[in-house]
Amino acid sequence: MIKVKNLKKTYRVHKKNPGLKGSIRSLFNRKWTDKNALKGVSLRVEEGEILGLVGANGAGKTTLVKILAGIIHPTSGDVDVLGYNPFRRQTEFQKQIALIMGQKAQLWWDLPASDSFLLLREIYRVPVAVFKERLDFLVETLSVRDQMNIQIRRLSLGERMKMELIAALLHAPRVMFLDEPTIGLDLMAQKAIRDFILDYRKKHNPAMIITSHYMEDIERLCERIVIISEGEIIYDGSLKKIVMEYAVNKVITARLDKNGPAMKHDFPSDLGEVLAMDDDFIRVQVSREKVPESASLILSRYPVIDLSIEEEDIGTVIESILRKGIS
Amino acid sequence: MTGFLWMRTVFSSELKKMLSYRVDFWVQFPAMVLIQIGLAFFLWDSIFELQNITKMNGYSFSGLMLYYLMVPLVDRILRGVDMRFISSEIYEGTLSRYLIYPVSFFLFKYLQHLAQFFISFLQFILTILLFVMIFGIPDEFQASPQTVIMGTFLLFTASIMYFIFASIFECVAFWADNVWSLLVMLRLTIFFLGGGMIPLNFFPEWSVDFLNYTPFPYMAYFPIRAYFGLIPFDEFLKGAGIIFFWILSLALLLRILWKKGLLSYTGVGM
Repeated sequence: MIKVKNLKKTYRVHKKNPGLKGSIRSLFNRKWTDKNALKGVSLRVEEGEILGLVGANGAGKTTLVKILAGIIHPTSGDVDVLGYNPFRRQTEFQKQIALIMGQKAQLWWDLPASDSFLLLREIYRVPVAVFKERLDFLVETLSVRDQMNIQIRRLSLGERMKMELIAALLHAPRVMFLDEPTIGLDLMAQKAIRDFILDYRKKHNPAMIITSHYMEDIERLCERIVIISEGEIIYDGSLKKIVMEYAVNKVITARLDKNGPAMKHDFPSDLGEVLAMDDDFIRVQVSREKVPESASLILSRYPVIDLSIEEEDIGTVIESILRKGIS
Repeated sequence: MTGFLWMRTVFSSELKKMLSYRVDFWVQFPAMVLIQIGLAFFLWDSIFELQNITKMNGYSFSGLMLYYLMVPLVDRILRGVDMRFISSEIYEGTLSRYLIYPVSFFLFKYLQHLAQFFISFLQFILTILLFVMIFGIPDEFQASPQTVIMGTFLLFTASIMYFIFASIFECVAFWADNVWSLLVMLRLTIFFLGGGMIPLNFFPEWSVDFLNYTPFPYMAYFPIRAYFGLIPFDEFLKGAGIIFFWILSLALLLRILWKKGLLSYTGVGM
């Protein structure tokens, strides 16, 4: 459904020295610099797949999404979404995609959501009966019926995001781009939106690309992730595989007997790092090769009643890859 | 037919929006008209008194006052949607939403412009009627149903021309960090060369002959003269032809600029 080959995007950015002197100088002698936002990205996304796009700020995630949605023009490379070149913005292409930008309202600020939905029904030419059925379902599922006739500007961030989601789904898109769909929302609203996206996928099987700084979004929604760093894909694979391949540490947690013999409250730093320790438990992070040694030390030194060895959480692994790169 | 329903909705939504800001709508309008006509009154009253005349370049004092009343009303009709109606979308990145909808961005904006045209035109008619009821009909005002139709037609086409003209300047925002001063300059130029400051028949004849081939006189002076009944039919046809020429030429230029601009668009703020 989405095919991208050797995609590059270079922005030309105006550079100005600080202060008044710099401003005056830039009036007569403007300096420009090229910023390579994407340096030859290639990927494919299939029907029904939810791809998580992960990367630090400025890595090129949003640029990629904007190119795929037809908003900006790539500098070079091939892009094919549903068989169309997005930048040509053909009506048939536009009718099959949706874009949600968590940081940017797409609905009309001065109109109540119900008016915006009506306008979108007409823009996308959704038959009245289908529109009513879809709207009813979406409004019920996201519990926003009471907010339908309130101006968008007067809604809370969570309510607005739910309305944005409804607006994006009224025409049942086959490809969805979700840029930070849960940003700024409380935990309940985040969960509601995640559940809803999964439910929508089950029913309509669209291809989705999600960018998010919330690891929980990625963990809950995506089976596959693409990590972008400085405009290049440094990892493209399953979420499970990334932990198997790149998690260098494991976490050992031991539950201790409070009434057991007095214990030494320390753990050798050459074996690993203590994450938490109390009278009745100890949690340490150790490298994979030191797991047997560390586990036997804990068992011999503390009155252990229960012991578990777990993989590092995905967020920590991805964060470490983003910080250090892939070796 | 269903494909056009969205146009009606955009038009009616814009009307609703304007009416929902009714305080702004009704306060801004008379304030603007009163300032403009107040200035003209004191200036021209002194000139008529000093020179001890009853007519100047074919205008009586009350005729001039009617002219100066019509200038801000016509300006309001032409301006339609607010200044920076495209540039702000470019700077804030909200243009992106229009680029993913399966409708034309300019048609969308023009429908909003048309809604404003509609409301401003009603204000225009009501204000002129009020003036005539209070001060009577000036001698040179020879309106007839035919001249009203001609004037309205010219106003409508001029509003399309202004929309395209302003859009061209707005599109400079694809490359420049701020186009506000450019837009102010455009408005001042239209105001001066369109006869907003002084009717164009006060200008030297050679300059009027030249200006008649530019878009400016058709954005104030020409339609107002048509309402006055001072434009013969053959002159009206010539003027309409010039307006159409400019609409087509400017639309072509806008199309080129828009296509080039989109290549530079980065969707900042998103």
